[in-house]
Amino acid sequence: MRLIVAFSPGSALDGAARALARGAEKELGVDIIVQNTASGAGTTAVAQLAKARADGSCLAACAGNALIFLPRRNPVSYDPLRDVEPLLVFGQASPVLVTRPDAPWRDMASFLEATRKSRGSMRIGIPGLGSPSHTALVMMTAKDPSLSWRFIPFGGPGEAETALLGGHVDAAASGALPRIRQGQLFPLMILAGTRPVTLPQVPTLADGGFADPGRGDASFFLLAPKNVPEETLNRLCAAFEKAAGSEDFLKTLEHFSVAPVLKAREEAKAFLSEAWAEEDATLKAAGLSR
Amino acid sequence: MTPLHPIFHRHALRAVLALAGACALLFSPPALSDGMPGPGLWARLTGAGLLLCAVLFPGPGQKPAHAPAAVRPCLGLVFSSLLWIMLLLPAGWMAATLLSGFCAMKSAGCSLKESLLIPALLCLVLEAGMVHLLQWPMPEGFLWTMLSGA
Amino acid sequence: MDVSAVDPSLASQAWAALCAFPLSPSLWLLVFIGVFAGMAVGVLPGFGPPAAMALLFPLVYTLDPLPGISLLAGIFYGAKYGGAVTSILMGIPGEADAVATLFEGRPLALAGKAKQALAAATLASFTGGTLACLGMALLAPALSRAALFFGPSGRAAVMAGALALVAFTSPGGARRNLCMIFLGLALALPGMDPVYGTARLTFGSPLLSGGVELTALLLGLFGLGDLLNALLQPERRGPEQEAPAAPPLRRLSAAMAALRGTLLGFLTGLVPCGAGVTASFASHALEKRLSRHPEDFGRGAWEGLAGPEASNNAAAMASFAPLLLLGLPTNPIMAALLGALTVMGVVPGPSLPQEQPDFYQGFFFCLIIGNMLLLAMGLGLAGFWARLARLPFRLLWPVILLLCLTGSYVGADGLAGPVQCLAFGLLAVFLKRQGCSPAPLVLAFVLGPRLETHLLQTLFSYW
Repeated sequence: MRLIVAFSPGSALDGAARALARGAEKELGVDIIVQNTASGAGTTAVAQLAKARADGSCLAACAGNALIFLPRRNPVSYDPLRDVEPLLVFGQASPVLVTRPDAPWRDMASFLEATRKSRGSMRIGIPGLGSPSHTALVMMTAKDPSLSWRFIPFGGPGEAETALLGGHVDAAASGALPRIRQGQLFPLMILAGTRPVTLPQVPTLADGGFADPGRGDASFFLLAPKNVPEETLNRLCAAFEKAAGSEDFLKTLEHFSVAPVLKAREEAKAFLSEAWAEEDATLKAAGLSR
Repeated sequence: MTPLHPIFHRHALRAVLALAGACALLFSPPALSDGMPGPGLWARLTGAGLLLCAVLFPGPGQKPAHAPAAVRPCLGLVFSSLLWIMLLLPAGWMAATLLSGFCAMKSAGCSLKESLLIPALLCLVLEAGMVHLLQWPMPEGFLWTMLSGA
Repeated sequence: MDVSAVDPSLASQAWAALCAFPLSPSLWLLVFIGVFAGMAVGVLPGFGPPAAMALLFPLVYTLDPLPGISLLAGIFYGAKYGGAVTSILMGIPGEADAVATLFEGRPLALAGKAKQALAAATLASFTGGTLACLGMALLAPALSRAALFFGPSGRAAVMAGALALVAFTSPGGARRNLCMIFLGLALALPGMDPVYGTARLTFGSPLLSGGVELTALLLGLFGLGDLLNALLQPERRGPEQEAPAAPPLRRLSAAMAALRGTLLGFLTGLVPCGAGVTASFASHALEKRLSRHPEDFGRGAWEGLAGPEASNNAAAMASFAPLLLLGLPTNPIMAALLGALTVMGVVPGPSLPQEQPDFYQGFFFCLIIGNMLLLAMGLGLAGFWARLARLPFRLLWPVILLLCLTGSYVGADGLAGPVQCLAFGLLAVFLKRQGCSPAPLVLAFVLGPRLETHLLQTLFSYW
């Protein structure tokens, strides 16, 4: 069986998806080969899934942005509400804006000050155009016109962090809390509404007065192609739900500081439609929808 | 294989390059999106480069081969490949491999015994290695399922 | 945390670890299983290390970190060796970094020197792997800082440099190779844009929507193409009788080639820029440039076999450095390893050597063990593989054909694979008649999307 992961290895989604796959392997009794397809900030993976055989041998794990935000902005080859079947929501990430430990700005306020002074020449590395962190940052610039950045797209948070450490960007949006804990990266701001337990001092978007793109974008979905037979879907759902409740999986989530949000199949589907509508409203308010 | 007419031979690759370049330039997305470099930028750069290459290409640099080439095994290869491709989904990969292996070996000039034995052996080895050991799903052939299930 | 601090006592730590290294039989056994499994899988074209690793993952998770990761690493370069075997014997490159091996390996096999060629390839791989491993264990922290220095523009420059090197040294002349490069870039265009993810140039066809598949390209261009070109020749020749004699083996220059290849591969592997492919192609081009007998290249120059094989393995070893020290995987296999490491609680990062010295140093010693086992197995099995290659051509080519078709189906996971494979086989015939070499095309195809990504990143930085 194949699991296509929509982000690059080492990212929070990848870690969580692999842990989920390992748990489900035991339940289902088949090997699950994990494949990372990080391009297009997740849309390539979902597009591959939409074209896959509808026999339950191919699944995808993606973040909500590939289903909610990106299809609005870019022409994609799938209909997010009809061409794929959400099986599970297994987590919610909080991307963090980080910078080098020796950078001149020590908190969000000074970073924003520096941004205003530099007049758009500061560079932020993002894991992909249209990823949740990118959306959050764009909404910040929409709210406060004096802020503007150059966004450099990378294949994943790992690459963005590497570029940061090499001095090629000034800040990066990543989710690698182990590295923050180790002190290799310095957190400036949480680019989401929820704050992970391990970073109590870091301000969130709400603290800075900025809007949150919505819970939908940052949620992790497990998807199947449409028209997979019901019994197969039920079997898969049961296995993955059991895996999502296991000790190992929860420990992995904690390691990546992903909130253990769990929604079973019907709930996941409803959540997707809700988040779709919710994001519509938020984007219109920010003046970003077309 | 009959040698291509000299003019085609000289300009064939040039035509391919020019065609590829034209396609890349005409059918790719816009080069700039929202004022920033977009998905079509690289495609158009490549297309322009291809057109330049079509002009720069120095030609094949040798006369087309005049000696009669052994066409029959070649056609046998192409035919076996096409047979395999067409049989794969309907009849399943084992049948496809056996049949096209047989055809290929016959066109290679092998004896009947060899033509039956070697594809069968190959099938067994690949079946054991790929399907059972690595659990790779190979097509079973919908004709069988239709016949046996219906 | 200062990434560049080279622990001054690292060398002495390494020496202490070497002296105290437990010669536990179970560790050796695990690495042996990994290498053997990798080799068995690597010989099947279209299957790469990911399939074998996925197979053994469940076993890995029940083990401790060190044996588990060593098992996976063993599979990784066991598969590389398997890829070299099919490259040399059948001219089928299973992966992109096995392509440069077949430039000289295949003519050597056709000239009846298959066993020697395989032995030489094994020795070169061993040299490259072991030296790179030692270099890594001692120098990695400083080197990974150097790797950080290569930003998008730097990486794009390295790739462009490799393409230029290959353009000037491949047969056919610079202008023809430039055309091949652009053709390769063009083939990489259809499919998904690597930065935006939008579809381009697919013309709505299901055969093209995934783009051109690398496996189909390699198997078609080299596997089928080789078969078709061989079949088209007017006289059918036996493997030994009328094949052009291979150039004599000059041991010293072949050894020097392996050392140069090691250095090249080691440096290239540290920078994420398509390490194995770039290194092996560049090594072949370099050897041809430096050789006193450049006319030997293409007919079975031993230096042209030793260099790429050594650089291939050196690059593979060196790509563990970004993985362990930066958490940055440079190819899909490293990605799988990263996933495994995370599960086992090993956090990759610059402080890994200090925080988990047992794991870090033990890992490198396991790699060296793996290299030694590979050498033993490679030399021991060379005779067996070579005997297979001496079968008459008319028996072999249908088997190669079917392997190519199956492999491309597996690699593309769909019928698009074999169709593209056949198309590329015919393209190979066409290109040969036009006097063009397919090497720059393949390199450009592999590097194209990365080059594009880095170019766009550079433009975004300065727009």
